[in-house]
Amino acid sequence: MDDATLIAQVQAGNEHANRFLIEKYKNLVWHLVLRMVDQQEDAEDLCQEIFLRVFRDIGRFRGESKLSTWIGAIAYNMSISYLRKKGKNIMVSVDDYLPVASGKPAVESADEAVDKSSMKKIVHRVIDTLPVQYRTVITLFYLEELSYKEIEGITGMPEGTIKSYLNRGREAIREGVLRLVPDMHPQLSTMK
Amino acid sequence: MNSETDRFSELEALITEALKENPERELSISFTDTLLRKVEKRLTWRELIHEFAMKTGIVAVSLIILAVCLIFPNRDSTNPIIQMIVDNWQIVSGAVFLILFTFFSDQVLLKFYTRERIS
Repeated sequence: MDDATLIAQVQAGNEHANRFLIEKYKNLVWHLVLRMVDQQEDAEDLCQEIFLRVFRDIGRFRGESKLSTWIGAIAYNMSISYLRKKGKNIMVSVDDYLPVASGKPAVESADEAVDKSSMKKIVHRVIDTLPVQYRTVITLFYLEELSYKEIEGITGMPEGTIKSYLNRGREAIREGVLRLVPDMHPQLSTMK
Repeated sequence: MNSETDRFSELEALITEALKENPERELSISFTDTLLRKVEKRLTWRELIHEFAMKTGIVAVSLIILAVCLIFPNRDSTNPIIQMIVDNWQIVSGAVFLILFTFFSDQVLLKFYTRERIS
């Protein structure tokens, strides 16, 4: 079902179309919100609110972008508002950010066994410490596999900023992992 | 040097793999059903309010037309009905409020909760 048909069906009050829309876009919204808000219960409530807004405003969608971009933008803006309401600082300067500076090493010595899934968990732990803007663009780019243009449509950030956040974000993750797993390099070669 | 480069690419590959993985936490299974129920509720409420506004509008317009018909033919002399309304405006507005509230309860609230119970 293409976007235009789906929108027409939703506006006509077709329950199957409503279900289809939710199923189609719930992962995009969930991944974005979860990475930005990082609290399961609040994230799920926020996802509900986002979809209610989508259903309320779908008549205003003019088709200037893809429906996924429009829904993503609603999710992004509502998550930002949520974070502001909670008093969280969302504008952490790129230069001020120190990756997990106070993080306790996850692995004390190279002898300690670290399998691949544990390493991934460590990567995710590091991601959780990144500033919101980094987490957002990283999620949209790697997990949702969106293009720079689509990420720009969702976040309103210029393409250059998105590329810069992606590069610096990756760099921060690398540094963070190496900080949490001292003597990381010998472990990598023996990792299953 | 080569092995150092290999390890670096290994770390890069691991990071990319981790970034592409779905988060462990998932939406609850009932997410879609709960949301659809909320959407349905809001649509019903909006539909009932719209219907109520239309019906109230029709009654109000009819009353305005009636009032104009009563006032215009005798606009030089004071109309006794208008005079009565002006003299007892508190009672009249109380009655209008009561009628509107009863109408709202019957047309919106009762219908909404009955539909809720059935669904």
